[in-house]
Amino acid sequence: MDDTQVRALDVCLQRMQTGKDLQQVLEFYPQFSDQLRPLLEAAEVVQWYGKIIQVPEIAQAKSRSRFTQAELSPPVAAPTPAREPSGWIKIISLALALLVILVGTWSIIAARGALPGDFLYPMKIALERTRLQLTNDPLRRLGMEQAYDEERLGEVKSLLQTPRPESVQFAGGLSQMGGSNWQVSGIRVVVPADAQIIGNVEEGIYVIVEGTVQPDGSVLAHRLQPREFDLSGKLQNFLPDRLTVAGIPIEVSVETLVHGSPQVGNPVHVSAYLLLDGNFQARLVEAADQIEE
Amino acid sequence: VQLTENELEGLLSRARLMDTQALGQIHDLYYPQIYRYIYFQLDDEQASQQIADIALQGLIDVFHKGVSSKGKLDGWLLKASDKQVQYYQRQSGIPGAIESTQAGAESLETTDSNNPQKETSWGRRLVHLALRQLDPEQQRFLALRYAQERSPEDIATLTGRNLAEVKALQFRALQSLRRFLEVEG
Repeated sequence: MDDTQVRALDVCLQRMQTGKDLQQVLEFYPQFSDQLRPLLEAAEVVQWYGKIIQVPEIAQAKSRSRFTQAELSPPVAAPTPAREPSGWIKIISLALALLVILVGTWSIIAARGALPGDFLYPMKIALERTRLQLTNDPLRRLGMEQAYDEERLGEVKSLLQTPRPESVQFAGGLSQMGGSNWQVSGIRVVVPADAQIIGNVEEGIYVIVEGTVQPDGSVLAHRLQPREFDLSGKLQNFLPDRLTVAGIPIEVSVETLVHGSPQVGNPVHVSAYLLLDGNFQARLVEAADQIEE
Repeated sequence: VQLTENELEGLLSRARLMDTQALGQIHDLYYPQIYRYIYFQLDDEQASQQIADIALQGLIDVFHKGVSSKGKLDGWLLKASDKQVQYYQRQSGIPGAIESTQAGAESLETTDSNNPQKETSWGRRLVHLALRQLDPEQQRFLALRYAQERSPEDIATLTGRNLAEVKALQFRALQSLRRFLEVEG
């Protein structure tokens, strides 16, 4: 840990608080990206944990009542670890526990169906991120990422039926990009001249769309970029037109960049696009020794 | 509820005279943040309610003695809460920081993507177990930062430390938390 990294972390955290995502804030400090990423991911998790704490209204009201009549009330005893309750206390506790479970269950079910702009939506996203961050198996992680992409797509399609003018971010297959009206997984995306297009956005691949739901049932894009999947693991084969990493087959094209000297049997990192036919296409293949540099 | 320094000074003056309306407003202002700070560390609703209650009741004596600023009030409440949390942890045999193997022995259930209730509960429990393994200073820092949503500058003022120390603490706390999250996950 040096002072520069300490300061960089603080700046990244401040920027995340203004709504920038992890990838965006790391772009300010590419030289510390590997050191800061795990800490920022931990910050996202603990931020989620802080936000899900619910202040109990009934207990607050009772405490308030005692506080405002403090001179009339007996002092409150310090809390001690739970003792075995008896009689009616057990019944009341059971009823309260049931209430808490019902309210908790409702929150979680509600969060599961939450849409962008809903109160519980950040909880839903944070929980997904927590699970992703804690999943090391590449295949399982890939399956989860694709499932969450499907979930985002479903949310946007639900919003379009309302339509609520919410900000959305989703990934989908870019099947048509003529003029300003594009088609992304069946959603009409309006791409104005000033929309930010990052990287190699082209028909036939999955892209990430950031935009706003419009009253006419389209999404007005602010930013588009290819949807990339990060796949790491042992390189099982490496042929001129394809490779396999951790059991995942990936197409290789003449445009695929290769860093270092990836060797079969050694760990590699692959950044890949998802194609409309469901196959992956490698954009970058890095040997493990290259990643460490 | 955000009050300006002047508004709060006015409330404190009235609270010293035991004006029930002013006392109520001060309670509304402080109960949620004190409760969140405590719950973040204990993950125990009942204990958090009681400790928040005790810490706030103690304010009445402080009002009688006279409290001159919001900073002093915040600092007093923080110390009172810390004292009660430590007392509770001693009584219940929960050390401020525990060894990884002890935390793991509490049998963290595995996640189940088909069961969102279990999944949220699992995520929350996992973070709590990881937090409990941090040293108490790191736990308190993260509670101020993420349960009370205070900035490092604010935390430095509140705890009387210099800003560079607080930012270094932030780095170490997140580094440790990440490590323990990986262990628990």
